[in-house]
Amino acid sequence: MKQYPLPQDSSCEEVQDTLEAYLADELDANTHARIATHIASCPRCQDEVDFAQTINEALLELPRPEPPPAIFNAVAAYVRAHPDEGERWWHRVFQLFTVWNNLTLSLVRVGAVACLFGIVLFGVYQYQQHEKIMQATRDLNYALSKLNYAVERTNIVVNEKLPDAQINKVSRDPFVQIEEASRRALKKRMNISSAIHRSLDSLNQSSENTTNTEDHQNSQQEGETR
Amino acid sequence: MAEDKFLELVHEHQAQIYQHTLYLLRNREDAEDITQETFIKAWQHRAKLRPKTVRSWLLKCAQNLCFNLLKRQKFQEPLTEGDESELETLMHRHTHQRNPAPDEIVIKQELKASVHCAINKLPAEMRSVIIMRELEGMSFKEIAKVLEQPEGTVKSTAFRARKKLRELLRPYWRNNE
Repeated sequence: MKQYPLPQDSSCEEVQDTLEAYLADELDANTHARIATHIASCPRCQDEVDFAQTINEALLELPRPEPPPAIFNAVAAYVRAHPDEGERWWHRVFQLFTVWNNLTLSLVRVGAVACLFGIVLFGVYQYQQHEKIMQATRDLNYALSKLNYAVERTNIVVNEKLPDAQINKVSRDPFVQIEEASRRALKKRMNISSAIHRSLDSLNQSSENTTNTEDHQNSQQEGETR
Repeated sequence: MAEDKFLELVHEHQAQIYQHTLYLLRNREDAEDITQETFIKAWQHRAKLRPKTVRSWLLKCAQNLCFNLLKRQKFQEPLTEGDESELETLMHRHTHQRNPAPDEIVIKQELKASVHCAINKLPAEMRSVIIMRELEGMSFKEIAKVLEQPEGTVKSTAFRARKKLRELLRPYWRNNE
């Protein structure tokens, strides 16, 4: 056995670990240069390189046994026993489907996201419109209830106060009573009319928005048709 | 794919597949069976075969069949005496037939003859990478594609396999020196 004068240091260990990568030229430039410098000055590592290269040569010279003819004959017999009957129509359909699927997959995803976004926007818009209409309906109901109340009060005043006024012509002035009742009724009616106006304004605004949207969609459809 | 064209393909690739399976399985009969099964599977899946990727497909198929067989047979156990001596005989015959060498390189040739046995002692994964790299001359990229592993992992496996070979063959090298 050969005796090597140089002791094994950390560089020798590094060579041991990276020798295969070094011989395959897979190390970075700095490491490669460091290893090469060390190998040039270290007989032990030079011997290790020789050893590794001998193994590499042996690997390249590994025997390559030829396959026996029986393998080819058996495969050929199987192929002839199961001949190619041509491509089935469902294979073609499947291939077309696969190609189409691959091509359109990304487009379908984008379209699906856009559709979902549109549906959400449309829902929010519809909810807002619904809320406006509901508010207008509530205002209208309130106005109608006030109107009914005013009518009832007017009837009461006319039915009850007017006979008293006729009876107490001297002590009381019936016209004052009637005037007072009319003034109250008028006041309530003004409140009622303002509530009705507000309701009508809201309804008009809602219908205008809906009409504008429909007109816009109609104009777009007409443009596409043209 | 037409039958004639497929049989041409079999003729072209059968040696490589056979050698690959033989080195992996270390048994001629199993290697023949797996090679045959690989090409039968290729015929059954001929619609998927593409000229550019047919070699990778065949190697991947053979590789999977080999590993399945190794798992079934618990092939990781040490070789029997008969198998090892058969392989050594094959390697000795091969080296001496090819290189009637002078005395000064006889020692190296003896070591080369031991390489085959050392390869058989490697784990199946390392053996597979070494075979594809050295015997079949495949690039790391191609091997990575067959093994479905990152290229860096394949390189690392290859380097570890060579280092392991050095460790296994060191007694021969020291003794011969």
